[in-house]
Amino acid sequence: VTKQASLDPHLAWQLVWRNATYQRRAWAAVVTALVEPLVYFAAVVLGLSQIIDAHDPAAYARFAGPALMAVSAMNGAVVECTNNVYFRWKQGRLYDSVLCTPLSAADIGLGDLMFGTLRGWFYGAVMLLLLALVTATSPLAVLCSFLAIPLIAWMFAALGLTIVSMIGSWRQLQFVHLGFFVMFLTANTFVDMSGSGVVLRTVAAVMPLTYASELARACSRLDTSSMALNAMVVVVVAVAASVVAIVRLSRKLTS
Amino acid sequence: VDAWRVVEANGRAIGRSWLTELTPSLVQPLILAAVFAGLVSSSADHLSDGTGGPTFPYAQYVVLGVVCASAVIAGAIDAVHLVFVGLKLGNKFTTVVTTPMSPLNVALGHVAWAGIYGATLSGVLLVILTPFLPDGALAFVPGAALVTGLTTAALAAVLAVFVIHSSGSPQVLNVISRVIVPPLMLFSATLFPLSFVPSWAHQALSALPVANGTIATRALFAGAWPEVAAHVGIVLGWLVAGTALMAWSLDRELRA
Repeated sequence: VTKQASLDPHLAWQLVWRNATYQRRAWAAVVTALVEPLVYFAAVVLGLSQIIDAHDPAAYARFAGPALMAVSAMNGAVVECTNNVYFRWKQGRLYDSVLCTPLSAADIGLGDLMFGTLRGWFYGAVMLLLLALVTATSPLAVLCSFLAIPLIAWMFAALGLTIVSMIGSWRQLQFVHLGFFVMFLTANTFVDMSGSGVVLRTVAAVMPLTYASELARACSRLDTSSMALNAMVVVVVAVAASVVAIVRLSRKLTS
Repeated sequence: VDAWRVVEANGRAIGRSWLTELTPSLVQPLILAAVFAGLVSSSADHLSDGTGGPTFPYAQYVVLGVVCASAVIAGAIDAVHLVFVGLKLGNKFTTVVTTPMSPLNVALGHVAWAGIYGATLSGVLLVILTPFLPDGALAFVPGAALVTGLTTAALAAVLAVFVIHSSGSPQVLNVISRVIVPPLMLFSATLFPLSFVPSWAHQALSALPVANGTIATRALFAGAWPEVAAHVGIVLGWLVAGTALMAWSLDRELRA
């Protein structure tokens, strides 16, 4: 077994630790990425909920809030596994140095996947805390949501890593983020697309964020059947994307 | 003439990567407007920016708000990014001011570039979204583009002052795009009237150029000229003060 093909979670954890230590010095970048979903949530609570249902403004906050929690987890994982991985790999040439240590290329993929998941979990948890305070979510629902966030973050970290293993230039990242923005707006985040036309329903059905949002909503209302169904989809996508991401990254790093 | 050379240089820079530069600026507001206009157009009543002001069906309210705010922010961020690169990253401005160009020319050029960017973007977006706008909207598009351009230039000047006085770390761009821009984008009478936010935020936002530009653009489509004049007056105040402050800050920074 060559070094490039081996996969050791303990060694991968060293990369997680390295990334965490490095980002402690860039805490402002970590914190500022939290602002966007919080602002959208504030817009939902302050404005849109009153326009949509003046009699029960909290109802819309309960609809959009969990989806924004999923978006928060997505943002954290995606920013880490696209921009930051690209920078470490192509600009900083960090991985060339890392490959001179006992870490294999697969360990690098796993380490970045784990770190992206942890970052997404952190962002989702902050949003969950705010959501719990504003919509008076039950403690059991908060616990369920807290445990669902890492699944969501894992899926998006894996998708981000898969995408970054396919792109060739910094400019292409702008289109990647545009794609995630389109998904953010069209994946049942603000509107239930089930009542829309067949095109919008199909678009929403193929978006991974739709299942992440539905999982978050199922957790908030403790709907176990919906929770199981959506969690299953999220885990299947996460596993498949993780395998593809690690294999592709390993090949690219060692070619 | 000297300031126009800066506009030309910025235009050439964007011309080399127009696809990656312009696609997000065009696609994001279109999707944002479509989703939010579709979201509540069936349930919401007409909305107004102030008591006695013109009212709009929600779809029109959102389309006009999103187009104006998006164009303002995209244009201002582009100009501010160029100021950061020219002053803090590449030191291009240090070379530029050894020519007959003065810091005032550089400031005026960047502000003008931001205005042209914002006006063009809003014009294109409004033409695309004409079916969602009031009847005869095309006649108002040039006026709306002008108002948006002035607002973009005002915001660009203010943000440039912030960048000039920063330490030079790229974090300043991060703070602008992630901390300053999202609230401006969503709370400047874009998706709902300013009266929906707490009074302290209402007062702060209603003094800023983006909200005034958005409200002026919407009032223009309703032909509410006194409102347009009042809000454009505030925008022009920001534009003059911001440009003067930017030129002074740039002059001080380049002499230091």
